[in-house]
Amino acid sequence: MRSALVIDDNHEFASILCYQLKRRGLSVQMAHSGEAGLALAQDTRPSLIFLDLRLSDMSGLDVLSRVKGSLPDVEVVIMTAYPELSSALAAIRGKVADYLCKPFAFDELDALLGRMLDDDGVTRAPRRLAADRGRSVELVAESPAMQDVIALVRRLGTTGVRAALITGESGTGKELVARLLHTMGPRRDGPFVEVNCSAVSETLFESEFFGHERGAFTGAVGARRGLAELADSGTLFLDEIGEMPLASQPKLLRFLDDQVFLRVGGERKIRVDVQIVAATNRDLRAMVAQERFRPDLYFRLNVASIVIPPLRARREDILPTAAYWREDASARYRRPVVAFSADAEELMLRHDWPGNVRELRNLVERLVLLCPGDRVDASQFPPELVDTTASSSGSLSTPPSHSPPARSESSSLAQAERTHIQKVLASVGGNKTKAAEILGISRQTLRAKLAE
Amino acid sequence: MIDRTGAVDDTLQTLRKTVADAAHSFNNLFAITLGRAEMLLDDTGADPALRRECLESIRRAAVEGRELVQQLRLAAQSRAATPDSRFR
Repeated sequence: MRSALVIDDNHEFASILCYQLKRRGLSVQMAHSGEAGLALAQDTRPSLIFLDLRLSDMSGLDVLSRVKGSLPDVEVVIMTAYPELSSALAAIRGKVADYLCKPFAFDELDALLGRMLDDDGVTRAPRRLAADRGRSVELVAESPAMQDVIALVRRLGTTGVRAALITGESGTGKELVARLLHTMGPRRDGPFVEVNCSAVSETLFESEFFGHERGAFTGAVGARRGLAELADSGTLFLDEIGEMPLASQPKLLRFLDDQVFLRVGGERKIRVDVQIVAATNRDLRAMVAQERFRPDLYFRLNVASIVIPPLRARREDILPTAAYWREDASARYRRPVVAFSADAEELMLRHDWPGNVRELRNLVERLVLLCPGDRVDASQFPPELVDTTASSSGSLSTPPSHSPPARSESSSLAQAERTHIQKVLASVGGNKTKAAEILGISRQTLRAKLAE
Repeated sequence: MIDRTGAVDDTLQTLRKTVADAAHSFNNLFAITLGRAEMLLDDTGADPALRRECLESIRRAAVEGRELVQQLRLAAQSRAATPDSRFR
């Protein structure tokens, strides 16, 4: 059973929330002070913490940072009765899974729990809920081209656009830009719900997007909210919009226009306020010409169009991006921060990065994991990167438009990870809890990785 | 938005804090009232003991709210005794 911890010094409210969570099938503990909450969190290791910002003995923000320090995988939902701490809120953005303003209706919990916990509900959405929810939006933008992108996103954010289209090659960070648009816009306090359109079949489109009432079709045992409802007052991110079935596109367009829909089998019109951000690495204009994408939907989305240039077109970003992911990987794998030698930097600057930032990130991660000393030089680079003539192949993740994915490379990263995990496990005598701690991952993740 | 660069008068600061605290307290009371009302509206309402607990909790919240309003009135009166030109 999933477990939750409620930390709130308002006893009455804490017990109401506990009651509501228990009704939703969670096992719940509660604490009425920050210290008691921290102690309980250590003991019970809950998957979810509901944390009030104002506590009698310490600030909720302190509890947040301490709890995240010792239990990085726990999801924290912040609650506040008066969001006056705008600067403090900026500090928690990205560190918390959600944010609830008291008083809130408890059916908001359904949406929140649905987003957060993978229950085994009917027709589970193929939504990929940010695995890295704990990370704030970090975009490296040293180059003028990328700074233009950021400036555009900021402008679009302040105007609060209803719909936007992000295009860019695979691995350029379209999702990050979508998150940035979300955090800069008026719906920043609302949810960010992500769905990969290639995973939604034509038959399931309506119930996925708009939900269904109980008994709407065989298998619809209970009523279920759709993505449009889950994303209410927030952002719905439609990744790989080019893969959306042609027959589903008019339904999305209609929703874009009036933000009103019916659940499947429902009679009540539901109105929401959702920002739709679509992304694709395909050439939608060409798809329109080939009648594989509806022109009206394309024009509607293209009103606010953000184009992310490939990494090779903004070489100023290469080294800062590498440095960013080097620090990130060092922290995540608890490895010392390595330095790049001049020839290593030279190699990175010369490479074409067909897999863009993702390719660079994977390479840096691999170098951090495998580097024996404190310095990375060209000799540790994979051969295809050293061989400049092969600069457009040999990536860890290559977009389909360039060359077939280099399978041997991706498996060798997995291999490196595996070797490292085995090494750590051996060093702690096979104690998985200790190994997970050293590796900076949860026990569950470790188990999953060992089972791979 | 508040201009944080300008000098902020103590009185104004106190007033802001009073308003923020009051809003905070009221929202907490509303959270309880709403939570209890929702409990009554769903199947909890059928259990007499829980039903009574919910209703008492709502009554307590309303009484606390009334006391808060009285405190605010007192605070407003004491402010009126030392008027500040900006509030006229």
